[in-house]
Amino acid sequence: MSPYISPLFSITMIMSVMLISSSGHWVFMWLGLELGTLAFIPILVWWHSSLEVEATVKYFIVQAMAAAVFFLGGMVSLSGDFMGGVNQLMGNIGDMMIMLAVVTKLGLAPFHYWVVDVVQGLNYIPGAVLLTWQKVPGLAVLTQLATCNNSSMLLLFGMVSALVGGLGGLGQTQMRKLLAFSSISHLGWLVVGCVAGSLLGLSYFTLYVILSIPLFSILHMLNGGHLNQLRTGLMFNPLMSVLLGVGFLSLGGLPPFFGFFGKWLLLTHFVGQLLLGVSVVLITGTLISLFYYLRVSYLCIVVLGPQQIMSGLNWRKMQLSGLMSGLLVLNMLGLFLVGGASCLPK
Amino acid sequence: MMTIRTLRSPQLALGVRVCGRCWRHDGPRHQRADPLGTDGARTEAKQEVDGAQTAARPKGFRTKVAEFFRPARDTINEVRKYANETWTFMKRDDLEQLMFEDSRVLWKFRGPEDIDQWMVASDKEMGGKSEAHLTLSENNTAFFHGVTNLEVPKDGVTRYSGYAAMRSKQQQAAFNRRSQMDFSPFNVLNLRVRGDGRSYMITMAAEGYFSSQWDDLWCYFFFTRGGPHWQDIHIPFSKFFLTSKGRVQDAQCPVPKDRINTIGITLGDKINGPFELEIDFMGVTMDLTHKEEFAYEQYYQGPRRKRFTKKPLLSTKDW
Repeated sequence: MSPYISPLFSITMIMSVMLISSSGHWVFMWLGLELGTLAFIPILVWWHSSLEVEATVKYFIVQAMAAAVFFLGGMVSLSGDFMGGVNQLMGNIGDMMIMLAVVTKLGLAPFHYWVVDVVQGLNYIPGAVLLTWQKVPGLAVLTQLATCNNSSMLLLFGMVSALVGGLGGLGQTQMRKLLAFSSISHLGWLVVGCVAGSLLGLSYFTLYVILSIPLFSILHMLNGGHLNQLRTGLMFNPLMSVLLGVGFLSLGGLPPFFGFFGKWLLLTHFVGQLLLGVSVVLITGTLISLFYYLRVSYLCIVVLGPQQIMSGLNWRKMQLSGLMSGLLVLNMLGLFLVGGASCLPK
Repeated sequence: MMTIRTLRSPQLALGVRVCGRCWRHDGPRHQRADPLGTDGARTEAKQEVDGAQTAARPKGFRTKVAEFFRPARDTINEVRKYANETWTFMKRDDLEQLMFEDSRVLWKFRGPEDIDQWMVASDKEMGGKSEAHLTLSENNTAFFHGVTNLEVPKDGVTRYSGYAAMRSKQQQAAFNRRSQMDFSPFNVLNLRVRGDGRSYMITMAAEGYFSSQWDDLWCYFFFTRGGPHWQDIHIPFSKFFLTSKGRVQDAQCPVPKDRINTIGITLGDKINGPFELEIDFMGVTMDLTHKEEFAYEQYYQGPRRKRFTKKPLLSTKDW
């Protein structure tokens, strides 16, 4: 692809988020969602391999179907304005359809099946964009459309996502699938946070992006598609391997790493609002997902692989390795935050 | 007591059990073609006819009930199988082995059960005259042998002939879903073979979601020496090239190691005559010194105009 054309897609994706955030009508939200999807498709097929094309077509079919349901839901909601007696009912059905469409676009359980297949077919970089940036339009729509009628449904979907993300990743040995299930689990927390308050959801999302992007980059550099390939990292690049292991522990929400604070923030709010059931389910899902995070960290930090003769990172993929390492070091920030907070006078 | 039946058959009067069709002899009831029923031993043909007659006979109530509930019973069995697979996958007793293994033996041909996991094909299916067989040799190895014949069948459609192939059978999961093999921890395919000097081709078929991918095969060649000594063949996965319906594709990509459906060996070297290939085992290995990801470069081939030059779009030099 021409290097002069590719920034156009990135700018369009950013503009789609701005369009959704600044509009109050569902038509423009739909427009923003479609713009974002269409701008992302060429990024997915950057390398033109058959696997990526397959993943892209699957992604496009799901997104197009969800967009159609979104538009239909909007028209149903609009038709309620003209039908006096069934106004409330049609409005609720329309809102429900819009919500279901957005939930499908995000990949929230129980509409999550496409996420695993699509992420497995992609490289790490477009996969990272799919699991981080492409959540922003959907979450922006959800935040604006969340009402008292559908917030309970969103809470339910969020809890199911946290559980499904934990259970689904248990037997996985493919790193991409594991990260996909991890993303589904985190999306559950995100959605619940957005329902509780938009600022909470935004904070958790920022934290998730800061933690995820370095992990994807390091895995891209290590070219590690399978769990088995991570065990050799400690031999030829111990710093990167340890940082990767710590990054996964942080993503799992293990204190005192940085990733714990996002979950702590949300749990504090839920317990304060007496949403104990939601808290218990989310914690259960996190504990289950911690199992496979610990497995990855064990391979990265503890296991010494066999001696190698000609080994090293692929020099073509070493861009921004310093930045990514720095971001992963940020995980250690949690230690200072906890230490600093404990030193404060009460 | 005298009845019509006893009048027709004296044996019946004496209390001897007789054939219900002719009432002349004892033993099982025979078919119309054999009125005397002199052939006491049932032939296979008779059994088939009897089976057909049995099928045509009106079914009893129990049979009808059993047949009515058979789909439900099959579905319950499939659900049980699916639940078992999911539980095994989540439990992952083999996880420690998966995380630390460097090599895996896929097929070790030691008995008929290993041979049964493979199927054989040749151009005989489309009217050709090649033959292929896969048997267990006296050394307890797989013996792929036969004859290749280049004579094209006279059907007006086929243009080429003369191939023989063996391919592993597709593994099935619950609900007739295809189950794939995951070779992503490994990067080299190993074979121990003893051949006849001919050139064979290893083929790997991967799972494709769309119909345009169903004929995709990743192939690579291996050449046998023909002597009495065994050959250890190591083929990195990066060397396999993509073909579809026998044609090498322009847009190449590495083999997707995490979803391999079948592995096969094909012979199609355009030679008339017999072939023999003995296979000891097939396996995969992780070779840490092999860093190549894909052996075939992909770049644009064709005339490309340089940007920002003073050359006009059309000039007499281009003619």
